[in-house]
Amino acid sequence: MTHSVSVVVAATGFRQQHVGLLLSSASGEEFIHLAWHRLLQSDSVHGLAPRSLSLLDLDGDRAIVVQSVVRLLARSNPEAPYGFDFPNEVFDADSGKWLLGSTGHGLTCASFVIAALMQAGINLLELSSWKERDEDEAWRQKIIKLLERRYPEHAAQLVANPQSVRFRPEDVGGSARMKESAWPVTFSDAVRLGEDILEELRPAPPRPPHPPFPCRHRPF
Amino acid sequence: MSLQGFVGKNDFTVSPNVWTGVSLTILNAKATVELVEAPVRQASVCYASNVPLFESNSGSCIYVTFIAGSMFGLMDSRTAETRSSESWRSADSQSDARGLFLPVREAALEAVTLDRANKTDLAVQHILLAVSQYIRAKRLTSADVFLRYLGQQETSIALKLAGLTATLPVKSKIKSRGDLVDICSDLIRRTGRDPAKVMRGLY
Repeated sequence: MTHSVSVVVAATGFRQQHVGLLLSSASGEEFIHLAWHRLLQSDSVHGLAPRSLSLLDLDGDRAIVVQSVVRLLARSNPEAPYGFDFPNEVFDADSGKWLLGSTGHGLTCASFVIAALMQAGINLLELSSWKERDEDEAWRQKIIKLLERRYPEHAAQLVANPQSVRFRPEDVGGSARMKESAWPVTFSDAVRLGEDILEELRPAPPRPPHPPFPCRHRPF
Repeated sequence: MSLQGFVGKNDFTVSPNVWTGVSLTILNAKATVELVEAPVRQASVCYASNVPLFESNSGSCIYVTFIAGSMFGLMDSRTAETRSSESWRSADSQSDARGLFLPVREAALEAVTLDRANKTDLAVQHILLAVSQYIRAKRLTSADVFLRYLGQQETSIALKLAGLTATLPVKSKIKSRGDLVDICSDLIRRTGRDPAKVMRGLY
C-alpha cells in the first residue's frame, strides 16, 4: 500500500495535545494541521515529539482520494480560523471553502481533522453522542485568553457565540485506531481509546539510578 | 481579461443535423459552427465540447461545453447548460471563467491520461477540482457526463472513487452516479477487496 492517512497526536505542553493528519505516499510525507488561528498549514511531522500515530483503516485507493481532499481543503483555507464550532457543515461541500465567516467562528485542531475527513465522506466520530466534560470550559477560557493577545475581536466574538462541545486530540487519535466498520465511534468509546493515546504520550518515568558496580578488589 | 463578446443563452440556436449531430448557430457572430461529434440519437446523450466561440483579450480561447440531449430534448439541454452573459461578466466569475468553460470530455480525458502516465494523485486532484467546479456552477449535467465518462474508461479505482467523492454533495441529482457506484464496486470485488469497506460513506 503506497498511500496512507494517519492521525498524529503530539504532546505540546502540560496536559495539552495537538492533532493533525499525516499524508504518506511513496513520494513523501505531509503533516496537515490547524496549528492556530489562521494557520492551517502543511509541515513535517518530525518536529513533533513525543507523538502517537494512528493509521486510518483506509484502502490504498481510497487513501489517495482522501489525501487529495485534505490537501485541497488546506490550500483553499490557509487562514482557517480557530474556534469552537461543531465540525459538520463548516466547509462548503462543493468548493471546500470555509463557510462560517472570518470572526467569531472556527475549529480546533481536532475538529479540523474531523471536518476534513467528513469532506472526504468519512465520518470518524458519532458527533451527536459528544458530551461536555468538566475541564472543557476551563480549556476554552485558556484558549480565549491566548487569542486575546493578537486577535481581540475574534476572542470577544468567541465569548459571545454559543460554545460547542470539545473534541479532544486524543479522542480523534484513539478513534482513528478503530477498524472502519466501527466508524463512527461514539463518545464513550473515543474517551476510552483516547486514554491509550495519552498513556503513549506520557513521558517515561525517570530511570532508577544505575546500581553501583560491584567493587572489584584486586587480589593482593 | 475582458469578457466582452460572450455568448448569452439567447445568442445561439441549436438544430438537429442528420450528418453531424447538431448545428450550433451563433446569431450575433453570423457564423455557424457544426459540432463534429457522434450523431445525436434519440434518448441518448451526445455532448460536444471544445468549440471555440470567441477570443478574449488575453488571447486564450473561450470554450463552451454544449450538452445535447435527445433530438426531442435539445432545447431543454441547451437551457440547462448555458449561462446568461450577464452572470459571466460579473467580477467574481472572471478569475475562474476559464474553469467554468472547461470542456467536460477534455477534462475527463486529461484525468484518464494522467492516470495512465502513473500520475494518479494528479488525476484524482484534477477530478476533484473539475467536478466541484461543475457543481458550483450548477452544471450538474456536466458532472453527470464526467462521471459517465469515468465509468466507461479503464482507469484506476482511485479515479472512480474521486468522481464519487466529488459528487457527494449532489449525489441524488447525478444520474450516472449509481452506475459508477456499481462499476466501482464490481472492480473492487474483482481485486478481492470488499467494496463496502473501500467505498464506505460514498454510497
